[in-house]
Amino acid sequence: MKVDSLVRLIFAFFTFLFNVLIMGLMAFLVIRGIGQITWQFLSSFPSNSMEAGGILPAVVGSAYFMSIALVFAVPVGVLGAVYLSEYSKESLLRSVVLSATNILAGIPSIVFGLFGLALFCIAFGFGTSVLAGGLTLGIMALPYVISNTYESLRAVPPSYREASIALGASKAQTTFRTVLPAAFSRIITGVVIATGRIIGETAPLLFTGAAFYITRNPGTVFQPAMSLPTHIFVLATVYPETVASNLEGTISVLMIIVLVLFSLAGIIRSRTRRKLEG
Amino acid sequence: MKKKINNGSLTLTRRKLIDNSAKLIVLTAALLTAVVVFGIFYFLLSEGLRIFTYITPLEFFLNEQWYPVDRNPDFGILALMMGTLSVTGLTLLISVPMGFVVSIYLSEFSGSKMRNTIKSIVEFVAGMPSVVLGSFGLRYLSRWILETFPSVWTGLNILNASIILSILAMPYFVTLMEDSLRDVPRDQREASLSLGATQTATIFRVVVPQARSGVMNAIIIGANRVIGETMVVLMVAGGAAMIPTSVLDPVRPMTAAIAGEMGEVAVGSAHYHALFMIGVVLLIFSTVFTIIAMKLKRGRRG
Repeated sequence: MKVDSLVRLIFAFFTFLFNVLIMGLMAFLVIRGIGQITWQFLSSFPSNSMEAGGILPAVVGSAYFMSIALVFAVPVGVLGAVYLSEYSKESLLRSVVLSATNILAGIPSIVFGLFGLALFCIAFGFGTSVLAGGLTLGIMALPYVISNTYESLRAVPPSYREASIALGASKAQTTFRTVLPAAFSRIITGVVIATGRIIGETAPLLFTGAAFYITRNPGTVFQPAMSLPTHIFVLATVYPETVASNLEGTISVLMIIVLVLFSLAGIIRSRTRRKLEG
Repeated sequence: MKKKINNGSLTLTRRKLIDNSAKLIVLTAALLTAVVVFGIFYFLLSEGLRIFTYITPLEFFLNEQWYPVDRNPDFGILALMMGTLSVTGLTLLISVPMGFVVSIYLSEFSGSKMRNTIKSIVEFVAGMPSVVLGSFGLRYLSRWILETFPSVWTGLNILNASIILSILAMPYFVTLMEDSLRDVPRDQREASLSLGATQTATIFRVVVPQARSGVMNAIIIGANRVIGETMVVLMVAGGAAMIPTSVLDPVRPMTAAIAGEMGEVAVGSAHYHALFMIGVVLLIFSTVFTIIAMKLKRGRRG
């Protein structure tokens, strides 16, 4: 049919156009700053009021924020998903938890920032700190971890559970020794993707944990820290356009980290699939 | 013999204990999610509602003057809401049709290899930090806008923010719309084709109408993302708290006002409470959108 092939051509054209543009943009953002990335850049403090020098405190700060976020979100999220998948029956409680997870996933990141400010910084007295910022990011990561773990657990065939119960294992043994290990690599994939999503979050950190410029790494979790995304924000908005090299370098570093995390998730996923298929 | 049975019952109690505590632990973890949502509502409302000890709700929502640091401050968020509305509207105008085209291509025309490749590119896009795209808009796209439209006085405006936000919103539209198109059973397409309908007619008269609630669901979830996006609008929307008259005007969406001003305010001041109340508005919007999306999804399944 003539119309059909014309329609097909038009749809293909726009799809490829979008993909080419988007890949061009990603390549542009990664490559433009890639020349900046040296060991010196990654391992030294900023100098000359952040116009020169490196990004060590931002790298270290991001690692701190992410560690706290994951230490909170992974256990809570995985166990919460275990409840939804293995323990809950159709009940009011289950639908409350499911709705809460969905609502949490839709809440704007800046609202998490306000919540973190009111609860962690002020009510708990943590102040602007690594702990408050990390916990705020952890709460943001929670719905990702829950929904991904839930899907992973649902993908474990019922026969695994039946076999385990038939061999005399208890519900807890079945869940934690059979079902969770079977879903392990899928759960890890979800955690890696959640990390990739959260590591670039800027807004929730702006007034819960971010320092604009520090000259030594935080010694305790009660001090603020720099992070890669907030560093990009400051470099892009505070400095004139002529001071671009550190901005481009930092963008490149963050983009590469995100790309590596997503590729890692893809690799784990395809290896798992191959293993399951035999 | 007796001893053996005793042992058995002993382990049985222990088993039960372990089983019950496991149940309790997972239940606590699950409940924590609900507690967090209630906590977010509680803290935002308790900090936000206090703005109404300074001004009336009518002034807050319908006054277009947002001069929070003036000696006689104004806390009217109408211009901020219009900022959010205009940016969201133009973003949807750009990204919904594009997302629709790509999702139709992926579900109806492309082979599985091509589909997987494009889907993984789209997944990468979903992971791009918004601050990076914001920097791109600020440093490069704004220059392009200034050169293309000689009459404009700033490259940081609704158009710039909407182009950047469209990139961020596309993955949601592509992924969710494609899922709902593929949910339409294969035999429906085959029945239509065997009755002599062209592939084009099949797609637009059979497949798309059936996927309608899924497509709506995608638009709602994507719109919710766009409304809540903060860094892009903070960096490239221009920051002027005024009601726009053209897409080349700068605006200050609600999220940008919170992110840009919260760092400077005194805790407990009227300005502080006003920013929390804007947070309440955003929270209510996103909750309502999420609930509508959940209802649509349930309707589709049931």
